[in-house]
Amino acid sequence: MRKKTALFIITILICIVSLTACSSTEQFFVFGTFLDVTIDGISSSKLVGQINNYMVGLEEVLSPTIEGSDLYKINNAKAGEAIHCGEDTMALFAVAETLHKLTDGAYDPTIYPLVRLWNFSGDKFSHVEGKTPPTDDAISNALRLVGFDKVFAIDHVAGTVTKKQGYDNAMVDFGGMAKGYAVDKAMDSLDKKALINLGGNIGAIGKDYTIGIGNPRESVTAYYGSFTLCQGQLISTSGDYERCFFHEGERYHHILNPATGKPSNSGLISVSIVCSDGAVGDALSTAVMVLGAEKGKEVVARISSVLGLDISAILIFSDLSFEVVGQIDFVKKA
Amino acid sequence: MKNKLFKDIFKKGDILIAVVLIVAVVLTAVFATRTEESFVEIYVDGHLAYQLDLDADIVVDLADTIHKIDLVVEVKDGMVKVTESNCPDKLCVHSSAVSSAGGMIICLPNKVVVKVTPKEVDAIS
Ligand SMILES: [Zn+2]
Repeated sequence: MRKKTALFIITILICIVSLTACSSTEQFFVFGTFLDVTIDGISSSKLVGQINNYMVGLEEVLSPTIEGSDLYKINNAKAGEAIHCGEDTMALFAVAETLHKLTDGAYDPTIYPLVRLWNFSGDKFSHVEGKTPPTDDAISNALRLVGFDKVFAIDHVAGTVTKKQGYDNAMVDFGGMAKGYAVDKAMDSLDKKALINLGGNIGAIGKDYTIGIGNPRESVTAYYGSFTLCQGQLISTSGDYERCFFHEGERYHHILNPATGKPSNSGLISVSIVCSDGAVGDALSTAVMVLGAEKGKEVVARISSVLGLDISAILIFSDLSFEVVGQIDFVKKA
Repeated sequence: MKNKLFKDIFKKGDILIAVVLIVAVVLTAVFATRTEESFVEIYVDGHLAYQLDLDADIVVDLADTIHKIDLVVEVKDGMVKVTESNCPDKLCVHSSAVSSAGGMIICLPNKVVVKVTPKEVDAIS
């Protein structure tokens, strides 16, 4: 009898705990941004910690600024030196190859020397006043190192990446893809109802969530509009308002056009991509910013059909009007 | 007599269960009816350090409570912003003020997140 009572009390206590602590939100810092994970269920804080540890592990392989990472080794290698890379790195090189081709070069991770020249890389960017854009000479010099297909030889069988002759100073960074990839991979390991948000790269698991799109121009950080992110889907947003500076009244932002080496100027100021592949969505949001609405929509359709992916997009133009591509219930905030 | 009858019907363990059940009901009621005001949450290194009412003006200097983080958060007229910070990049100080519509101000060097979650959306991309 006593045992039974004790069991019953424990059951009730568990019920209380699950009622009062039914949702746990925790934040961590990884990939140069914040990780915000909300999981329904009682064992959540342990799982949140696991997701964070997983992402820290990925960052140690993929960050170009962490000594000993795959990308650090590639960037510091000489031409002809084959660098052996891990599974995740090779997976991202594969996606990058595909997207570089399908976006006509608008997505190009070898733009990294220019990102550094403009001081837009995570380790260099600051909001200290008095910044100036680099000179045209410096830009055209750095542009010689840009071109994913001309700079690297990728061997997927051997799992190696090699700089081609003449490109000793070439550098690669998957900054525009790694966060979406990380959220996507973390989603695969969860069977709970959860929302993973890695610096605006958001994935919904087991449940639909309402997601706001950041307002690109409002002085108050309100959101522009919202839509339902269905379970299994991810959203990535790129905008000219995230990392930017002003010089002589002009905005210079971090989405660089690989063709010009300068910030994209396509009439789009924010692009959100919704699909079930985090790496593709993350890279595509950048590419469509560069391509503009017309070309961007063509590329979205092309990638949809080639990769067999359902892709939706929310485009915001410089006059703050918007356009929705695909099947999402986006509503502009009144 | 009455007491004996009571004891006959309810065993010690049952009373305990009853107490636990009442506590459970009360807690559920409290959490279910918790008012949905707009809160400002200040996270430091992933942990919730402050929860402030967005409608009550206040200035919080993190240096008062957390060593080495000299960052000032100000809540005024239903908006929150970072007014001072000892970080090198000053991204947080240049971030827009956040209203009850929701948003976040992040200071990466200090690992500080000032967050207002709007009621209508779960997250912002
Ligand atoms: Zn700061």
